[in-house]
Amino acid sequence: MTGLSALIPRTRLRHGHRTKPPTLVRLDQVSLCDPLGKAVLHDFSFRIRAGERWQVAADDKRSALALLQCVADVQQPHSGTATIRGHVSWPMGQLSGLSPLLSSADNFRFFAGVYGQSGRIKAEQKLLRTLCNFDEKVWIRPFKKLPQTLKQRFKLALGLVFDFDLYVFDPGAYAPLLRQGCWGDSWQAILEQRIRERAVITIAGDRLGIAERCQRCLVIRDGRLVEKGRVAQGLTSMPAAPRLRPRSRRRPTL
Amino acid sequence: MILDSIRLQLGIVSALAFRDQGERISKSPFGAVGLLVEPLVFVAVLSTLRVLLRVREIEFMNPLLWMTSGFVIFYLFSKIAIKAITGVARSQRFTDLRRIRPLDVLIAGAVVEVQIHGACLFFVILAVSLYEWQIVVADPGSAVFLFLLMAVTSLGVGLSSLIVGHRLKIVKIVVDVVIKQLLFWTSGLFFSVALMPDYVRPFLLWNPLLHGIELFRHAMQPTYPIPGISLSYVLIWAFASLGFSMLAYGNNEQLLAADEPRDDS
Repeated sequence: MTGLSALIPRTRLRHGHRTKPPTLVRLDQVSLCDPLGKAVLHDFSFRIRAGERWQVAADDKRSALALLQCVADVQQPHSGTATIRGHVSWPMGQLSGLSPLLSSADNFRFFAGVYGQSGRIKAEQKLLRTLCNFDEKVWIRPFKKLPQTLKQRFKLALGLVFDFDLYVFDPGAYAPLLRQGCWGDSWQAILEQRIRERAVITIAGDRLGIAERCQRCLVIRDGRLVEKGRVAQGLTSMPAAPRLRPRSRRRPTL
Repeated sequence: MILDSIRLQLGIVSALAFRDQGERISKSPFGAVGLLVEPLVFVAVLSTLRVLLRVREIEFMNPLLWMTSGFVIFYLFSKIAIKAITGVARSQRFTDLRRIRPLDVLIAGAVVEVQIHGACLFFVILAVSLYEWQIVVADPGSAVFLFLLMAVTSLGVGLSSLIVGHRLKIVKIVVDVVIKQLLFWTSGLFFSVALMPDYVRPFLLWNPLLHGIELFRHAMQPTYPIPGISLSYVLIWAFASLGFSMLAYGNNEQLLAADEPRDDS
């Protein structure tokens, strides 16, 4: 475990000693429709500052997913403006940039070129291989020939390997991995190390326990932001708002 | 800060080029060699046809080198420009990765084409040099500069067509046809501009690709005649097309990244 943790660089937050953390993502009066034309986000204004952890509670899961995609800049709003200044991750697990023709090694090399830190590529590769538990044969096999389980494991691990200012978690994307029992202690340790001092946004009720660590909550009803604030202050506007359970010291049993 | 941005940009383009090259090698039945086989076979077929049809021999330089230089530069131009016109669809695959912009994909594609066609040209030059037992490139610096200049021009032309073609579909179709058909016959692949009659030459000299190819041949063999050919003309085309495309791209990036042009109404 100690060895794995050593692979993660301890970079300082970019805002340094400023009193107010910088804004990473800012949505101004953003509206977004689903492919059928139904508004999933309507007149939505919200900002995420460095180090803040947000969970999203929505009556419609599509609204929460649309918000995550807007924050990750995967989807452009139909109206309003989304300003993204920080180094924001893709929605974890939802990765479409992998080439099925290339091996895991080559796919990693591609991602390292785009998101890797210079001088840390080898450490990132070691971390990825340790998380995925890929031997040399699997590592150089074309990605399309890997079993689905290994593909999913690789996709999720890739997100944990690189350093971001804001991590966007879509619990639905890593649910299959949890069902398969791939998520072990080493994964949980890396996850916790990654999100330490970093901004996070996730959907309430995730099974990794990330939402439980979020101090702030957004409540969305009918695509509109009805309430936002600290969880400790109590959010009463919506039954689906998350209950803040006492933080368990036990690792999630998966 | 600026250096960091440049380093990041170079890293992204390099990663995309690596990925593009890897995918091409995976698709090719002969691996990396297969990428060079296609253009080399085409040159061999054209050269054989010339011999069989007893086309008037080019006396100014080695005929294989003459044919290869024309063919390689033309296809470099054609492939980069056409890829730039259809570049948006490819970049859609990277919608999850916000760091990758459509322009990065186009530049990476151009880099791969330069690598493939440059390697092809290098092997032919090496083969001819070994056959004639002398170095056949008189001015390698100018040759490399012109080769890269044509790549830049093609990227500029392709990108301009992509942006204008998003507004006016007809532009995209016309440019595609012009690049594939008209330029093929007027770019000096099968003739030397010095052998053309004086009354035909002005009609051919509008084509910047002809200037590029003839200048490239001249760089290899200084005695190769280039009447009416101008480096300034190619430079103007390169800077004008790239300048316009960069200017237009800066204002249209969001439009290009969308599946369909947005309805502003």
